[in-house]
Amino acid sequence: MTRLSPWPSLALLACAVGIGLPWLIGDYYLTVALNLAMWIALTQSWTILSGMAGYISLGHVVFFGIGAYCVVVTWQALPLFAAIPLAGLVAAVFAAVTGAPVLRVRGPYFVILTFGIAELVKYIVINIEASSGQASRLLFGTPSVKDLYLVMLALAVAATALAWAVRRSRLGSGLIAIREDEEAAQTFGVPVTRFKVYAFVLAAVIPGMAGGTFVLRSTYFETMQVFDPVISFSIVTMAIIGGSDDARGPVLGAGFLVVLSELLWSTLPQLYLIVLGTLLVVFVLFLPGGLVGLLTRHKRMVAR
Amino acid sequence: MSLLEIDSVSKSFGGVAALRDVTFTVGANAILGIMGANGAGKTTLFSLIAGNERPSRGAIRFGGRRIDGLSPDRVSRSGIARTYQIVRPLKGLSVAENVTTAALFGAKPAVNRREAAERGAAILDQLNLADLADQPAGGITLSAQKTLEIAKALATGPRLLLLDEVMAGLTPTEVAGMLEIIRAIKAEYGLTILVIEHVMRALMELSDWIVVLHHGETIAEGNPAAVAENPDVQNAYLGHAQ
Repeated sequence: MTRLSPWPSLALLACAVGIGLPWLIGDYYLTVALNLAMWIALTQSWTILSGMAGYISLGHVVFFGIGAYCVVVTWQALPLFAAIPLAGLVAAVFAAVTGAPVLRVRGPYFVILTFGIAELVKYIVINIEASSGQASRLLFGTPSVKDLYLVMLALAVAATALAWAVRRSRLGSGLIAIREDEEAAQTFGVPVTRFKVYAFVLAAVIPGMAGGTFVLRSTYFETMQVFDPVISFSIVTMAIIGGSDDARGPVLGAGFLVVLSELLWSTLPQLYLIVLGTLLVVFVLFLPGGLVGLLTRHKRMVAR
Repeated sequence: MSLLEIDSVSKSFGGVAALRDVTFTVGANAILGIMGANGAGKTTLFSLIAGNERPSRGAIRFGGRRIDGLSPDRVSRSGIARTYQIVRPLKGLSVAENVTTAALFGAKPAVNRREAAERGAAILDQLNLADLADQPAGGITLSAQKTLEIAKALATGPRLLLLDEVMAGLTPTEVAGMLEIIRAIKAEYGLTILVIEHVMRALMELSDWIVVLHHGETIAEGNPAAVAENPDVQNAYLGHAQ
């Protein structure tokens, strides 16, 4: 007897509830929901390169920051429905241009390189802003929380669908083969350079748009904030805590961390990073399968 | 009509010459054995053909087209598949997923996952790996991993198959089984096969033609009987007769 997986119906239910939320809850909780959607979008995107191909990026914030900066620069010059896709496009172009050289480097060197590139771009933007005499910018007339929430929700759904589709595609099979053994994969015909660049570009698009949406929510732009390396660290932590090789991991990981950080920010904000680090260590050491691993293990025990 | 042409190929790593001016051709549908002691340059030759390394000098032609200098994935797409002497399974995936993945790439990539899975299952069946299909590839025995190397190579739909010591470390019974498999896949897929092998009896039995490498140079070539009689080969293998 095969039982239908509950996940597709759960996903549909989550979408329906997600769309209905603005009419159900107040602005404070809607902001939390917006945050959750943003982290899901970022973490799902990250898994396309780092989860599937195993190239762990510690600089994913660079796409987020670039997207945010695009929207800020074009603010009130371009309508929103053009500015946000443009943010995604610019992030994707940046990934395409830097991809080929950056993706020649593997393992810990890739981790450090991506981190370094994000910092480099951050300081370039800081200098551009400083040379125009601005430390930060205020954005007037930004859309309502409700509209921004719906945009972010759409990005979360799109990122989840994209990660799901890539994993089932020929590209996804090739990326997983690259993660397992890049040289062997290339020998049986996987065009490794091309596939890695595709994955990098696909992983960049939605974070670019998420950054653009985020900056409108915060109504001011400060370079340090949208290029904050803690955003990259959080993405990696959420992916690891969520675990698993499928689309459920990032959703569970992001949900867990967003709820946790809401609780901590209101009571013990200084503890947030410490808790983040501790959780990361605990999960890496004791629960490498993450929350999804925990769930499937529980299910197996129940079945037994 | 030769399918593969090795034309005055040399390869050095730093100052060390691994191959010196090696020339031979392989006809379509033949099994060519490559003999030689450790360090004779056999695996280097495979790496040059498969595109993992670039020759220092000389040309490699496959079906009349130059393939030296192409990346391994392009060589694979042109119809050459290699196995690794030190096996390289995709350890985290199951045996079936390994073969299905390979079937999505190479010279004749499957159009979709279902076709890839079907092709993979047929190959596993033929190579007696069907029982292990759901096992993680990192956990099966060495002899099964060696067979899996062939299965992955075969799944890409090659015309030329490079087998690097697929019989090393196998028991005599397993060697006999492997010989049977190699002959069967050659007949069924119309393959041309290059074999590197230390198991001398197997190589003699399998090959139509043998090339002997010694310190990176070709010292003899011919049919198995002629090579076995060749005094240079005997010297290289057995030392000088007193």
